[in-house]
Amino acid sequence: MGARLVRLSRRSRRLLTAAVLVALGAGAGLILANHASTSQGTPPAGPPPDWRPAPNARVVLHRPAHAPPGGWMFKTFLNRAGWTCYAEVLPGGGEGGTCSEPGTLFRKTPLVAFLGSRQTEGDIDQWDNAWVWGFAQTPITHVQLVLTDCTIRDLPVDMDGVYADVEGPDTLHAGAWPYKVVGLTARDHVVATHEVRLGPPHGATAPVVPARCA
Amino acid sequence: MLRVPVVGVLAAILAPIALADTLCDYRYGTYCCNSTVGLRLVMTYKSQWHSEKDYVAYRLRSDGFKTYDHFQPVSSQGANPYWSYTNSVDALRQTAQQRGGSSSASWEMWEWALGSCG
Repeated sequence: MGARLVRLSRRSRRLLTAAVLVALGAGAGLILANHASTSQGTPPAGPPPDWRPAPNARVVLHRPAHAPPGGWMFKTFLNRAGWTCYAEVLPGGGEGGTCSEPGTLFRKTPLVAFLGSRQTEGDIDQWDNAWVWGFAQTPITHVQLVLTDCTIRDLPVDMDGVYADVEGPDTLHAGAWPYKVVGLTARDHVVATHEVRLGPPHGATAPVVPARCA
Repeated sequence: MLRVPVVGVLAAILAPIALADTLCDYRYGTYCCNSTVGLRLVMTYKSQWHSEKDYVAYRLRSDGFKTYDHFQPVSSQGANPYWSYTNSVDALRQTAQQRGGSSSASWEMWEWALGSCG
């Protein structure tokens, strides 16, 4: 009886040891996978950027090439540390923005695209506004925003490198949502492309993109 | 004797799940009169391992309407992981949750931002 208990105990220990080794392997794998997946784009240490404009900073208001009425605009300026600050200004709402250290804005792509949306009142399953804007680096001179119904908005890149578009309820409720941005040269050579797809508001589904838009 | 390593291993495996549930602010209070809500979008553990990370921050009213939803392409396009939102109009405005972190391949929100809500 005692020997049997010992055998069982040994077997249990072996099983436990095997379980521990498997768990250790899984844990190490998860940690390695996490490190691998988060090593790119790790946020900088320290406080958020200084939002105060530099003395005599040129605060530029960029009006979108296409927008519903209401006073939509996007704002850029240099802060006291020389960083480029940029914000989206929502009519009747607020301002969302951040700043980028010099030399970092285009570190991954010559075409940076921000995407936003909001609901106002009415149908909770619908977006009422969606905006796509960002920065483009030379040689990109204009950006095409393709909607999910294949409509193309041609957006010029201004002298500060900003392009912007705002869609209203007429477009969005008809199922034409932002799909992708394409950065082009003056001769329409494609430099960069990014998808800019909205998640659906709750209860809804996002429009399917026809193959002809892709 | 084996309990300690087993517990340790389980803790190591479960820790990411616990961290993933950190919220910035989930009270439906009010931010008033030119107040600013800062959100530092911080990488946390991933619940899915197959894609790069980008972030969203949003404001959700208690009646379910999303009054602000922002997508920040941090890992895919190199954007700054900080984002702040200011009530530039002088009005009470019901708020809000702000959350960050989703994979570009899925909108499943397992990873919340750690950030200041002051």
